Amino acid sequence: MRVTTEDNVGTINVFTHLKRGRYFTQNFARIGAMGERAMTVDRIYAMPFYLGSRTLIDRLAINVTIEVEFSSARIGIYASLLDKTLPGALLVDKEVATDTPGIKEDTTVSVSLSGNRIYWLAFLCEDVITVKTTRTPPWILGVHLVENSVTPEIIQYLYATQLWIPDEPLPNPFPTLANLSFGSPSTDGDEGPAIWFRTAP
Amino acid sequence: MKPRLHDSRLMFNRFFTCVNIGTYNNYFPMGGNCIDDGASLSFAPTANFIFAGPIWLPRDFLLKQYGVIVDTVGSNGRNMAYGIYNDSKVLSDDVRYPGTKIDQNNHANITTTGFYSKTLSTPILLKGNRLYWGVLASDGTGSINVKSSAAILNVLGFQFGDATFPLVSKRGYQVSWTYNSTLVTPFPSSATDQRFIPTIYMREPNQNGS
Repeated sequence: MRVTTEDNVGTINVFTHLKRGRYFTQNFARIGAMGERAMTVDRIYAMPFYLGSRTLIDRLAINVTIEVEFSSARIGIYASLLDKTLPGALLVDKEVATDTPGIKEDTTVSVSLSGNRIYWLAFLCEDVITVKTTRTPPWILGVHLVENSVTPEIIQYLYATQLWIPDEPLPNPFPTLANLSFGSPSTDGDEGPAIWFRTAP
Repeated sequence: MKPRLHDSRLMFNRFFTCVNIGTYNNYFPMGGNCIDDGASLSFAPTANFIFAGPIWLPRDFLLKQYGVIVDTVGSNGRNMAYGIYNDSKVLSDDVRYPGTKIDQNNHANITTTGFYSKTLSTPILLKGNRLYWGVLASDGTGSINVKSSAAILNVLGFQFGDATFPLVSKRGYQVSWTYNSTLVTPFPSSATDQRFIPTIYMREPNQNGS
């Protein structure tokens, strides 16, 4: 039987059915305590996640633990490029104030994402705020190995230099491959910023 | 069918979506079946035993390089061989057991830790939605530990064990086999369940073909 990209019949998608009205991050498996760390300014982070079925997203959020006065951050969603596991076109772009600690949420998102796709959650901040972080599962971006090393590193996210310009949206499309770097524990910290998306009720 | 290795939008029709990107070497522990980095345990393979762990590939995978991480070594230098095997489903569709050898490599007198691997000059196409097996054996010279995962796709299920571990996850097989640098094919019969198995790291070609 032929399996099409839009028809889940015949597929074995673990993440086909996300409960409506709930929040999820790029790490579907992790339900316990999360990490936190300071984010680098003028750097756009992209964390991949997989959707098994068509899903309407209506909210995006981050959790700020150490704020900076008068600061903001931009959060969004990118589609994957057609032929690579890389972020491509910008689908959602929202700005949230990060001048107080706690959940910073945008409730005006309305985007329908197709199933059987990888998408990317994106983050860019104006000042060095600290946010909750989480890990990306290793089956999308794999691990990084070097000869003679006995320590593989799960690739957590991709990032690129992106200047913060007030009122400017996230770049569209995402910076090209030549300008990308991998986020791995030894060089960039253990985890990427956790971005919550809500499935519409 | 021509493999559409980078046509990820069409290819990731399953849970595991491993696609290499860029000019980096992105490895997938047990083909992407590990929930962790594949290195959370250090496993001492028994001398003159051959081990096999299941690798389920969700899509076509062009195997360019594969290997294991040796994280502890003894002084005398152990000999080790590892490879990729087919599943034996050609014999029976409902028995998951390693079958014939696809490719292998060996290293003699291992006295240093590191990533031991084989890079294929001509990549091998492994078909998607099929089960393969990562295999490793070593002799009784010296000692080594290799990286192993605490959590992989549970193809072999749980089985009743003892009072301490009433239901034990079965991650692979082991069977006695007198070491030879050329791995046996097909995989020997009568293997027993094994809780821990060496992690095989696999990658596809980079975009520049390396």
